[in-house]
Amino acid sequence: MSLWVDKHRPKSLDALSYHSDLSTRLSSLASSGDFPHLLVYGPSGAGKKTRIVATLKELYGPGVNKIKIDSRVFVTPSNRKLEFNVVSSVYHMEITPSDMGNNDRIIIQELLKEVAQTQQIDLSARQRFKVVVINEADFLTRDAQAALRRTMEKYSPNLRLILLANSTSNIIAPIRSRTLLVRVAAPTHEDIAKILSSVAKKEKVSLPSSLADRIAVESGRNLRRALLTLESLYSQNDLLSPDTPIPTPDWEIVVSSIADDLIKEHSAPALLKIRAKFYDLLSHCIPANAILKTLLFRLLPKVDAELQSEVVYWAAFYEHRIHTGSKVIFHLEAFSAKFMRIFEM
Amino acid sequence: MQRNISTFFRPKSGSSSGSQKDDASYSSSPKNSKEQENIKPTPTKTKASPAKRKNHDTDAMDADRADAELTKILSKDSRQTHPPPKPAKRLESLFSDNEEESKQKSLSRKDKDDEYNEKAIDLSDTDDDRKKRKKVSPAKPKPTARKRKQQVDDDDDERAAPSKKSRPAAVVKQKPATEEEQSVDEPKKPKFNPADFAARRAAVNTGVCAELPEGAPNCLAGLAFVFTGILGTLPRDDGIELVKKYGGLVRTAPSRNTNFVVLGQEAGPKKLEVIKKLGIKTIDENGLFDLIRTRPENGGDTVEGQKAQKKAAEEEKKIIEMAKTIGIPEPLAKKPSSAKSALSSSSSSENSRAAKSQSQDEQRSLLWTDKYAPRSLKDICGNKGAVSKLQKWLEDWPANYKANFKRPGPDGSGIFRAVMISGPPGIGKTTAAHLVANIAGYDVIETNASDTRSKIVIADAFSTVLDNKSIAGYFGEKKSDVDSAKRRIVMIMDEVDGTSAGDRGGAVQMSAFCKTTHVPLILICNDYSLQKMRTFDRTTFNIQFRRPDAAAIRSRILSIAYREGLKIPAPVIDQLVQSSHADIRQIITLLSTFSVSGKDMSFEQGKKMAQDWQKHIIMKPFDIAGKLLNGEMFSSSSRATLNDKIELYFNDPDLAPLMMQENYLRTRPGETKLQTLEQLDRAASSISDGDLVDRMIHGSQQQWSLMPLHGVLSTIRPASFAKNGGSERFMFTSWLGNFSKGNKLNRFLQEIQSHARLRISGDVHEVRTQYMTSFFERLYTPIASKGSDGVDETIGFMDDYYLTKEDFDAVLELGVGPKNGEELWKQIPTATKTAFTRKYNATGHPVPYIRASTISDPRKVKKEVPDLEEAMDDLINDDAEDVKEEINEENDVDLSKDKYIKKPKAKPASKTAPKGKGKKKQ
Repeated sequence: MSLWVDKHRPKSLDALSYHSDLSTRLSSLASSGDFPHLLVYGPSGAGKKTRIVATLKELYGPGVNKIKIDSRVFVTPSNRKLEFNVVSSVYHMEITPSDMGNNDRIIIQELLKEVAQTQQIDLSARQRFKVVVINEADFLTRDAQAALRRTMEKYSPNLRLILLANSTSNIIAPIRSRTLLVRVAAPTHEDIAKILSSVAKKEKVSLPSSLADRIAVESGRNLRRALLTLESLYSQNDLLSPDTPIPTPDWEIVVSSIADDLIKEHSAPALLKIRAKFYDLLSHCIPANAILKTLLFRLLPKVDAELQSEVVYWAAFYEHRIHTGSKVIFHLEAFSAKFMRIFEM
Repeated sequence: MQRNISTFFRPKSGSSSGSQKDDASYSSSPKNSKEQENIKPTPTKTKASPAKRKNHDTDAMDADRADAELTKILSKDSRQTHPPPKPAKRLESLFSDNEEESKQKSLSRKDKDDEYNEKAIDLSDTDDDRKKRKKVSPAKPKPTARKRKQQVDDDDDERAAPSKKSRPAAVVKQKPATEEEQSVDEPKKPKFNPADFAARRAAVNTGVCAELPEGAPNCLAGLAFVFTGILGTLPRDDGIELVKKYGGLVRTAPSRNTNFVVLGQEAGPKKLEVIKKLGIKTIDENGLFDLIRTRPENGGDTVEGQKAQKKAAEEEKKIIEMAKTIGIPEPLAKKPSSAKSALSSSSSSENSRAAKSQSQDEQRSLLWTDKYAPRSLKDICGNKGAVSKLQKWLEDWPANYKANFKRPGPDGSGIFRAVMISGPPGIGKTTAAHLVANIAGYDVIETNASDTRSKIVIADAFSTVLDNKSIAGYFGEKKSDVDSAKRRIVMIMDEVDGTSAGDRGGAVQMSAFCKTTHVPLILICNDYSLQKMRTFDRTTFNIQFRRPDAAAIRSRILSIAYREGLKIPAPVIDQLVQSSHADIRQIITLLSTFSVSGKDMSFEQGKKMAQDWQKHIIMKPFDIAGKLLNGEMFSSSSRATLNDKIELYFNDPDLAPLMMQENYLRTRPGETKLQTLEQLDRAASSISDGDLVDRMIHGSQQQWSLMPLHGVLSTIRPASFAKNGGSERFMFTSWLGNFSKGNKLNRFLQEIQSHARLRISGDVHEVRTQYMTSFFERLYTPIASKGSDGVDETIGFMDDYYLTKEDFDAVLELGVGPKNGEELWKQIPTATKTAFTRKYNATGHPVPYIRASTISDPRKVKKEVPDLEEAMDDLINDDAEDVKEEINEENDVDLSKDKYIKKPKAKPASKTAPKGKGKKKQ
């Protein structure tokens, strides 16, 4: 019943179908007995997590697949109680400190120390150390990252960290220097098409290869998205033909409508309308940079060639501000106003 | 010299004809001058604006420079960041000559730098500042500005004028003037030249606050004025003040009774229509000046003047009349609180002479506020309705008491044993309460914030007091007094909202007494809207006191002034009333202070005094946005300095930027579409800049000293671009609502992600952007397409991904646009929805985790070592693990670590049993 993307996820390193040299390196790292801290980075849907889980299995055996979720309560210095979910097996633990927003430092300090200070009791375990996987490491605050750096060295006999991030740019240099950087590149279109076909075969669905290629292109080299698209296409259409239309996610439809608005009318009331749509997207948890990026790619085909570079420049300018500022709507709106102006000129 | 200036100005600013003509030509001259006003300045303005914009453009586009600018702003000292906004005149007096010269040098050296800096701030009022700075550097602002104007306008007639104007003390000032001339002589480029522009701008407003006309006192008596639009050279407040100073009336909206409308640019179309319909005479500020200069004292023998004079005479008579009756009748000063004495004030002859002289001594030491406190109900200024309500309630109290407070009566006050008087300070609440009580024949017991009023104290003190009788009346002088004086008491609790930390529980206790009291209770507070006053909602009858209007106070104050021998004109009193927000007590105190130093208060003195005593009122976010965006703040005639504007921001530094961000799009800043867009773009990017500063303030760096910069970037600068009168109504910021909604949905999303975590690999963002569509499809589509038959499929999928019913709702709520699940869900027939809910509640569902709330003291449950391995196995092979959130234990599975066990002895329950049915239902 579960979605294909989860059902057909490879469980071991051998089963991974692309980046085979990376897989072999990881497996040799796992068997070497000298497993370093890892910083695994790459775009969304490239297979970072899958690779890590497979590596963990290589390290500890099938025991790591038996996972459970605990809720832990932490008390902040200001006496607020924070609930925090920890996914763990006997051998490893997976946390997402950025869930806690600005309080992620406490999680790092308390939880990691607690784990690091306890020894592995299972004598039959293959490794002496436990692994802690930190998701969304690039969303960690500076404080949390600073708290991390000493822990990584001090407790290395008991603890290995695997950091997961989309890019290394937000991770402070001391941490980068303490980890082995592993880049997981997005799969190529061919890789994706191959995987789509194999999944379709397993599910006994006839998938025209041209449609597979189209899905691969449409997904923007995001394997997860490609698989999800394939499944929803399958569920919506009885028969998959090469020219079956590919559905876009709900939020991208809204972003496209914003792009249309931006092209169509340039005035204060139009900006107000666009602001309402931005608010709608943001309050529905669509990340601001995803909005801006999608918006840009929707806008570009609609503007003249000589204007394109300027639009891209401003999009990048405000995307940076989205990261450095705090109220993202201001920057999205400023981009819209800027676009209207340069489009009108 | 003043004359010179005015003649010099006249041909330029359009006040040409006024002063030469006599009274009879009023009707024609204002119109005439208005036309000129409309024609002349506008072209220069429109000529200027595109050039100005162009200039802004070039640097606005340069982002690198923008960064540099920002750092520059940060590093500049405060004087440069906030250019000295005072008019040059005042600056002149501040700097000594030497300083001035060195300053000029540095200024000219840093000229480029400075302009750069100005661009960085890029406020529209930098134009003004630039102009002002120009004024600083030559130190003789007017002639140079005018000269430039000549250059620009090529106005031959004016050639001789500067010499006419030159001042005797211009030795030092001459030099920079020549310097200026040189700079002006530079070859004119067709390209925009900021100095040139500044000069032209200056030319438009040469009249700014220069010469307010001197007229005969009270010359506008009886005339009603309406100000509308933005005046070119005169800030509206000043204009209003001017009219008031000369005895004119100022109304907010034109009506039949309006004599003149002082019309500026961009007046509201509605008002113009009304003006046209009613045929009211319109004048501009110069027409107003002429009016003032030429009208005779007290309006002369014009119709209005005579009417006004007559009215004034009547009023004066009344005041003298009143002055005789007010104040403490001397012999009775000894017992001011006695109601008896207040009533029988005329019968003072009974008292002995000795008492009289003694009381005179006492009276001298009395505060004016006590001395002239109202002695009868008709003395109370304003709030007649409220007072009579209070009186009626108190009079009816004994009857209502007998009826056990069951009959509401016509105004509903009959069911209350207590009243709550609320209103701003200084308008006579306490006085009214005392007076009413005395007149109704009650003795007063008063407590106020000087007494501790905690729960215990109140409980103690009140229970003993509340059914007492007063014995004061038994000591009356005459036998007959005794009977009537077997009086009851009334309790007045003053300053109820002034409870402090020590008075915990006091309000609640007091409100409890309000329900049971056997004596009337009068409670008094300032702000009834406070949260802690809510407890009195049910138990007291609320009577609101409002600020009395100026007219109600005026006669009272005038009579006091008369009694004390002060000479204060009525306009001054009106002004005091306005600036003190109708606080009578404050005005009387102010007068008493003034009486020490003089007897004659002029308009200016009054203004200054009122300003010194002005109460600081924190503006509401709406007012801040309105004030900044209505265009007047940034108009050429505005005298608000940058500091004044920053001050506005500091009224509410949290909300002001948000209000600005919400409302700057509701204005119409530019004339053409492109101009509008440019202005909007600048405003938007300034807000974006402001957010970066905000992050530096509220982020980890906590750079609070950047607050003024944040104010400028986030609030003032956008307003300067988007000014020009918001036509729409201002809205409250929608950021807060959207922010909290976003937070809520984000929490839901985290829940979904953490529940589905065992199956999926993505983080929350990936769940939202990629998984959510599929989730929605698998959850919603079966129910939507197959109705009740699809319920099983949906529930099956939910169980697969460990989604709860709440998660299901959240998935619907998280959809946007065409997939707005809430909307779609409404279209599902109710029968299907109920079927779904029932079915869901009827079966057990797996949850992948153990609730955090079960974490308890580990010492309590250290019975057995849990078998972790097995627990894990079971959790993974959890086909139908019936772990409910509430009943979180499945006993045949020893599931969790010891500290998670809530009820170690819970009995195994059959899996199909509808455990959570009752609880889950909504």
